[in-house]
Amino acid sequence: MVHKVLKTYIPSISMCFTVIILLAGIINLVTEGSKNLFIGFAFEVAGYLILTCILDELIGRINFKTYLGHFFAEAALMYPVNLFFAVKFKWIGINTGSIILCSIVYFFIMAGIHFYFYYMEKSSAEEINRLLEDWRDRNV
Amino acid sequence: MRLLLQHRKELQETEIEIRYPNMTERITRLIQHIRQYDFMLEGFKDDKVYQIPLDQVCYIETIDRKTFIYSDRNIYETKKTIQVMESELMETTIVRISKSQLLNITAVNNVKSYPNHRLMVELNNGEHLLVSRKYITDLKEKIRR
Repeated sequence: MVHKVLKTYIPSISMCFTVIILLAGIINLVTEGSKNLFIGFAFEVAGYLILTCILDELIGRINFKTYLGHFFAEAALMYPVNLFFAVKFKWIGINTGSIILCSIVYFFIMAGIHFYFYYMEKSSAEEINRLLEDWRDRNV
Repeated sequence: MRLLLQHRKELQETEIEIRYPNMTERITRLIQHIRQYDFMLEGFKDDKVYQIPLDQVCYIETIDRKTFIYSDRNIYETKKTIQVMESELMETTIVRISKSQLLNITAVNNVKSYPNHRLMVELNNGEHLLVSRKYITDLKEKIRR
């Protein structure tokens, strides 16, 4: 069940949530022509996420030997981008407390995402090892 | 299943005969396995031509536009490209694991997860290879077959 939640429900909910928010924003802009603050925020976040995906793809070309190395390099390289968006689009106030809180939240989310993929990939490797065992039983 | 072995000196080559009441999945797999055992790859080493049984091949790799066949103990060069070898060996235990490598799943000891959404394969001879994220599904499907 845990595996189904992680592999099916979390990605499905994330995709549906994103599509619903973006479509609602587009419909709102087309029909109302007004600039809803929440919808503006949703588009800013979408732009931020697309940029982080591009950066992730570029960082992924480095041949990291450990998961921790990958995590620290990606977290450090994306941190200025995160801070730029947060300050530029006024997601946080420009004071020490807000910046510290934003940084803590950023590193926790980054660690959560990396741990999620670490767990899923480990499960995938275990599944392949089980398939290999079955394959050997069938063929040898 | 009864196994009959006959030693007959007059035969030119080994013959395998399978008698069955009904064709089943297990017999199909057995036939595939025997065909796989009979599959030979041609490789060159020190200007000599060798016929390498597929079950002795660990992996095939392209380096600087040259294709090499790696067995447990030897490395042979082949004139075929990796794309040609991939299509010729599609029905065997060979599967592509990256742009430049084909892997024989019979040579795999185990796999481990590896950073950047890749897998590290440990071969029976202790060597390690990386499976690109693009080919992980193909590897799974090949083992499932």
